[in-house]
Amino acid sequence: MKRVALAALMVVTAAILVVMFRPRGGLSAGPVNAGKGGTANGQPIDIGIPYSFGYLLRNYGTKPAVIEQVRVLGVTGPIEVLGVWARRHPSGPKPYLFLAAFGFPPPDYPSKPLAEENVIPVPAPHPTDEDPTEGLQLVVGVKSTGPGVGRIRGIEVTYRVGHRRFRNSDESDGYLCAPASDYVLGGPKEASCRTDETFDKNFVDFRVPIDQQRGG
Amino acid sequence: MSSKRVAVLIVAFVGLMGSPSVLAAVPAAPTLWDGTTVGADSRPLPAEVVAYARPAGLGLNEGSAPLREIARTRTDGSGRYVLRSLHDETLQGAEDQNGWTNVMVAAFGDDGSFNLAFDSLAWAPAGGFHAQSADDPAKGRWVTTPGERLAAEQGEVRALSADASEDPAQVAQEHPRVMVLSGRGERPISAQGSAPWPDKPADRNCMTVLKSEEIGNGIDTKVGETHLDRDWTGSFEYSNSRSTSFQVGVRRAGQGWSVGGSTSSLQNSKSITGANPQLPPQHMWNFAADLRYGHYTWRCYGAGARWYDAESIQPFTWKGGIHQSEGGPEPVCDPTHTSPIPPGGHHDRRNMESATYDGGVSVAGFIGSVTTTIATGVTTTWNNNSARERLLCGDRQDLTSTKPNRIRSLP
Repeated sequence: MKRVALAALMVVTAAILVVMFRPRGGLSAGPVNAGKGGTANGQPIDIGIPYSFGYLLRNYGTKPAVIEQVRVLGVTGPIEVLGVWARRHPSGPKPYLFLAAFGFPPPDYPSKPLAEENVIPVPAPHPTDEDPTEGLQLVVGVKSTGPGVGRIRGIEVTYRVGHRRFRNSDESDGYLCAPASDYVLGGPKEASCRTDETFDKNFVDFRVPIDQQRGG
Repeated sequence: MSSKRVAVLIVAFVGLMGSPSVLAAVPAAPTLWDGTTVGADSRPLPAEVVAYARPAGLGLNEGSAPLREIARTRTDGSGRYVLRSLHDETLQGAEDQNGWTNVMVAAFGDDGSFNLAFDSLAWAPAGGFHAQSADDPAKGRWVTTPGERLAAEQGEVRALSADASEDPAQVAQEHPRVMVLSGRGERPISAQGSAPWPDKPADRNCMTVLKSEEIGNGIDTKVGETHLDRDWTGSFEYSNSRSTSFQVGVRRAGQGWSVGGSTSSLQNSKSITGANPQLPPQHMWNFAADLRYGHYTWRCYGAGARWYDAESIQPFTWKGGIHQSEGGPEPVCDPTHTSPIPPGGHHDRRNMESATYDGGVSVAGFIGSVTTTIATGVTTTWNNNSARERLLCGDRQDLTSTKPNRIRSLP
């Protein structure tokens, strides 16, 4: 009888502990804004040509944020994710906010491996009705692996500020449509490069080793 | 400690978890609308502020659907006020088919001054629209900007946090954060004479409209544009107005029109025309929805014997068509907000980005703006048909910003 009571007691205690210390719905988005998934960029392209999609991360907090992991979401169809690099924004000879560019890393937008460039800086003060200028741009490298439309749904970034961890995402789609001759203006599939907005649940993770995560 | 005692303690603890002494204090109703009242000299003015829900989708039949008071408060010493309300039956009953509720706020200054403001608000349940608590009228918050509403619907964590606040700059575009009160009431109600219709209520209050009339029968109102330089083609699709804010005009008797807030609530909000075909280059394309506008006269009663008449003008339904035209002011380019589009590449604005068209509303002497937020049923596309990389350029923000921004294509 005593054993049964003890067992019941342990079950109740465990249940209470689970209730008290359960995760609170995952990580919050925190101060880094990864965009809101407002855009889609597509490119008629030939198979095997490296290409990059850009995602700008802006820090609305008061301390630098340090990236721990980038997940490329919804990897669908004939597309391979080559890697994720990063660049300070604005920077380089073309200080534009690039959303898509040929090459990985794109020669016009010099980038560094995530292990070397993983801090989202605190921007300079800016008017409340404007977005800050400075940020960290993620450069997602991809290539087409066959005819048809290969696509990604966006990115999810896990980062920390001090010892606190956050997660946010930008579901801006990227499309590669191969071969290019089929999808360019006047091609037989001219208007169909971005007609399919469904995505698989496949993803690819890129972690920043702890010893290479910079300050923050 | 014996196992029996531990068990008793645990049972007691579990029991206490649900008791009033352990539960957190019941939070106040969510903020419906907050702001400040000032006088014509811009100094804080003490006032009584009342919010009303106005039934959705009504144009000329206001008499059968009176205003319903939903919140009332007084300003503090600095003119600040906060109106709060649960998502109760009154507000639920006033929602349109898209979940927007038209709200009118009347501010009665202690010195006899007065003003009205308008907005459409939507309820965002905490935890999302599919959460178990989605039907709880206290667990959620009110949003006024279409962008924030879309974020809530799409489950963005920031938007679902009960203590999150909307971007103040964007809220200020939806309704005045500062209400300027003016005038001292139309004329006292004579003790000997009869009070004007409708009968004066006991409190400071607004009644249903005195008069409503339709202006025109479909007035073109700009809801979108696509700027295409040479070798750029593109498209614009607009099939739903639920994420567009149309500014509302307000004027007191004898005064000129001013912006008194906005509405996103239209009786018919869907297009009856199809998506627009591919647009040829070297044009500034404009797209206008044919909206029906109402002109309303409101009567409100202040302290003592004061009463006020005010007019408002706003769209109340969409006839369903989109009219395409060329020309007009082109978006300017701020070179710090450019993004390259590779040769043969395309760029779509799809979700939560917005553009404000000054002068989009032009009716009966009132000039207001229209802010269209890209959402389901609203898309703009640019195709770079050149063999070289070219730029798209925002007039105020980067291309990916959700703040209002017009886009220019560069040659």
